[in-house]
Amino acid sequence: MIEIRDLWKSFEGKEVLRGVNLTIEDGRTTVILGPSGQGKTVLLKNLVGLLKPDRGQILVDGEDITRVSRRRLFEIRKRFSFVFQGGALFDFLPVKENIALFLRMHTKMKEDEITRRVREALRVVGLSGTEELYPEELSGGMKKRVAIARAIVSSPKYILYDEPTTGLDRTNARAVNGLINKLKREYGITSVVVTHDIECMETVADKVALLKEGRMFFVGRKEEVEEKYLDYLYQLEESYGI
Amino acid sequence: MRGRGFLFHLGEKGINFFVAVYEAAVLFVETLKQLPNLYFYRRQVIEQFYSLTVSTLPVTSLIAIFIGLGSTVQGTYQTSALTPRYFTANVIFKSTIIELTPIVLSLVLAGKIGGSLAAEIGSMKVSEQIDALQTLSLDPVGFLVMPRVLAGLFMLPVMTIFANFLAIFSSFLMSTAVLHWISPGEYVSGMKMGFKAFELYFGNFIKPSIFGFIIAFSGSFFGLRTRGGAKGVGIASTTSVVVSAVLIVILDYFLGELLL
Repeated sequence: MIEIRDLWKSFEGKEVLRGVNLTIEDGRTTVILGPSGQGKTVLLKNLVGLLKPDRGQILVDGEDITRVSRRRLFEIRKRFSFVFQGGALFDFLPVKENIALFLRMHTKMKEDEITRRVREALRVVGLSGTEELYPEELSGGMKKRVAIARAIVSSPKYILYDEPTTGLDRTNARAVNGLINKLKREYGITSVVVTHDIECMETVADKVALLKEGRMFFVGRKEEVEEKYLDYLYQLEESYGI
Repeated sequence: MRGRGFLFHLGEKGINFFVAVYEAAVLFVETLKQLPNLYFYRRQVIEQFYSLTVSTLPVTSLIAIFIGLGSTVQGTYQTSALTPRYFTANVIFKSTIIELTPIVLSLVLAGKIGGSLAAEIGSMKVSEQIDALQTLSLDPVGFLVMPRVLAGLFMLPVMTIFANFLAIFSSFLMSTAVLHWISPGEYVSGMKMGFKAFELYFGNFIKPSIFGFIIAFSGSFFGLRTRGGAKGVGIASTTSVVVSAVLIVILDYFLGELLL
């Protein structure tokens, strides 16, 4: 379980997060919904220590990652995988090496086992046979799915998704949403999804947190959001020209 | 108002310079701290050692051959009929191994390696690949910087030894087989004249190691400082080349002054 307590973060005097509180339960998908520039990605990056908050606590399985040593933080990060908005695949490595990197660096697995795990991860995301391709040869949707394959190969407890459907056409977006649900269902992975995509929220969320001006102004079930904050959802769609 | 603007601008530049120096010092210490993880990042270290030598072999060979030929032509042109020929061979030999090859090769590789290093790391920075490394529990300094700095430190001397050998060999062939201005025996005795082992060590190890470190460290440092998109990557690459070239030329003078 991840508990975020009174989290504050500013950049050059501009407050981006202003006292965020949120609990992320195990085995569930929590969607953080909000327009651009409200601190969604900043919040996600704080959860894995890529950014350090000005104050507040982030308890990962009871351990406050804002106060642990760098070495300990690297250990805790092994429980996480992060799917970046653009995929962030290493462009100097082919698909199979992108996925295998964690296993090569942090385990003593033999080559056969690594190859098997890479193939299995690619099968799960529906990209079997792309092992030898380089990221530049992949479409936007394929990059996202390879990024998800890289995320699941380490068998993480938590996967954090930064705008997983942004920039994808409807078919690819639905495929990615389906994958997020599949990973929760079949592997029990806890997911945190940051998005402004309402269809994504409707498809994957067990719990929804609405972020505005650096604060959570609603946390609850997605049905409640649709009942109580329909206007907010319309505004969100309009702001993106959807 | 114009004067105040100028002073403000000057002050801002000065602060930015000292901030950059501080950040470079921090990166240097972080790189040293990663040395105990050499075994963990061994694959990246081997890749960089291989990459620095293999990728630069053609350009190194070409430069070395023409350094030898150029220094021979200049040497013979500058000397008068009264100068002993073996003396001219001695000047060509020493100036090539101590000065010409290390500095010309380093300046060219500052452009080739330093520029591409900064661009590579810079594009990783702007496309969140550096963040991705961290989420995979890999330290960017250990994974990217330390292997490149070690490769610069150890492999530039290797390339310089190879280049010096080629340069002297091409000079020898040019002198004895093409221009016929000196016999092979005289050329070799010129090389032996006043021979000091330290000069070989200085030109082949000390200078290239320091220059290799500067090239790799500068490329990594400016790559990691990249801000913005493609424009930022271009700026990082250019800055890295300029800074390392300037430092190489300045240090070349001080090293000669201090050690010779």
